[in-house]
Amino acid sequence: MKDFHFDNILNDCLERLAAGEDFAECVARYPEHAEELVPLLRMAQSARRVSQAVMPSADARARGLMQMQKALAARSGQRRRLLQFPRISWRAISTPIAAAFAVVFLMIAAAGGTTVVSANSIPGEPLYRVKSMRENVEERIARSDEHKAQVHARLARERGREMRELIVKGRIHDAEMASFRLQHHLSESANYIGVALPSHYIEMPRVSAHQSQQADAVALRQRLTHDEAYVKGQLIAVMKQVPEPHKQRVWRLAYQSDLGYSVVIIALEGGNQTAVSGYYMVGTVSEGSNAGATEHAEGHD
Amino acid sequence: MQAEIDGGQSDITALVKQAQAGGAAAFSALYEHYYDSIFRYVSFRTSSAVDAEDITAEVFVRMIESIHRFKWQGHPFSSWLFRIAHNLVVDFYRKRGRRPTVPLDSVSSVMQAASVDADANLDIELTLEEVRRAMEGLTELQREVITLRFGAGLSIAETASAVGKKGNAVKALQHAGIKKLRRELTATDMMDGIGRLKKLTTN
Repeated sequence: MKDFHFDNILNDCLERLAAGEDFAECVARYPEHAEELVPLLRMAQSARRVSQAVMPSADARARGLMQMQKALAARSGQRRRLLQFPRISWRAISTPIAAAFAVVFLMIAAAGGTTVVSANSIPGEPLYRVKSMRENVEERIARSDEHKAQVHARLARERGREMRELIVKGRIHDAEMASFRLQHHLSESANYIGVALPSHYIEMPRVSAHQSQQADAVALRQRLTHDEAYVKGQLIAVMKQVPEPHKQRVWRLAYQSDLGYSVVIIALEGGNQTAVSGYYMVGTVSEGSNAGATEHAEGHD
Repeated sequence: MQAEIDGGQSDITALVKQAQAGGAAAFSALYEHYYDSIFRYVSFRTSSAVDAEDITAEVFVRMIESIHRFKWQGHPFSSWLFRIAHNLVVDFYRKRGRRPTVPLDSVSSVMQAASVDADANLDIELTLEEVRRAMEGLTELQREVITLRFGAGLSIAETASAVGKKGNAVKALQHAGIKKLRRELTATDMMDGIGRLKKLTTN
């Protein structure tokens, strides 16, 4: 019974200390237990202070966020494919058969002009399903890794355009989903060109493309550099139309897409790791502000 | 994002529901809200910052994969998330064995020595590595409770839910854990001699 009583006293003091109460005041509440309390409270305080001194790096935090977003995009893509092809496992179909279906589909769709019209559709619109199917086909019929990388780069850019349209329509949540898909396409693009995005900037050097892929990496980098400006421009252009309550979310989208492009571009060009780290930190700091992520980055750099 | 939620249960409940409905922003908000405490929890249980970063990142990937299975049954969301973290730490050691790796203090994340108290007469310093090694002398449950309470900063109720015990049992484990931690630190002389602890008792 005594221990049970003391457990409560000790916990009461711990809670009070955590809430900011003065150590001496806290102990003074239980003078009969002070001798036993003091060393235990000191020990607990020490453990708590050790914990508070543990600070995750900005790199690790940003990397973890990207990893989570990638997982979310992948999961979202799986669910979408299930809805589109409830009875067909496309992975199980061999490439030649898939390609044949693809050609037939493209011919039929193109004949009706559907693909052309669907090209500008956005998520939620009837023709968007056609567009998604066409993109799936494109991914599958791309023969070389270089071609697949270019396809994913184009799809990333398209997601950026869709983000703008969705934001204009006030569909911020859908724009955020498009943002995750943009990140997924960027990551896939880098993977196909043979450049692994660094998982630990501090200890692990960038993994370079093979010699034979260097030229492809340069071409992809040029394209992504151009697309980065395009997507950024798309989002900044609509910023004035965004209602105040949503502005912060839209700025975050702009920052995230810019960051996604920057990480891949830097990895492709040989990686100034410091620049990436700095960018992450700027992004973290600027969170909560309505000022543009890019403007912040430039200001701090 | 942290500024958008104050960590109140109603905020967390709303965010979890949004995340279960596929809300991307809700996932980001949960990430920002829990990242530091999960990282600290994992850091208390692993000896390498790189491992702690990897495991922490994996916690949130698992969160995405299984949040649809999370059900409100009177337990806080944090306890569910910390159970994921706990399982990943256990898996980590199961796969690797208990081989020592690079000390946490020596790599990327900032691990400063912690000053125990502002009072000069009672001032002692501990590092995370010292605390972590001393915790090896605790029982698994004591270690878990101490880590959740002082590493992650969970409340008694959250800790109780995370370890599947009643609040009173957690308080008892907390008491026994602190006592043993102090004894371990004294016995192994990790606090640079008993002298520093003696300062505490001469108060």
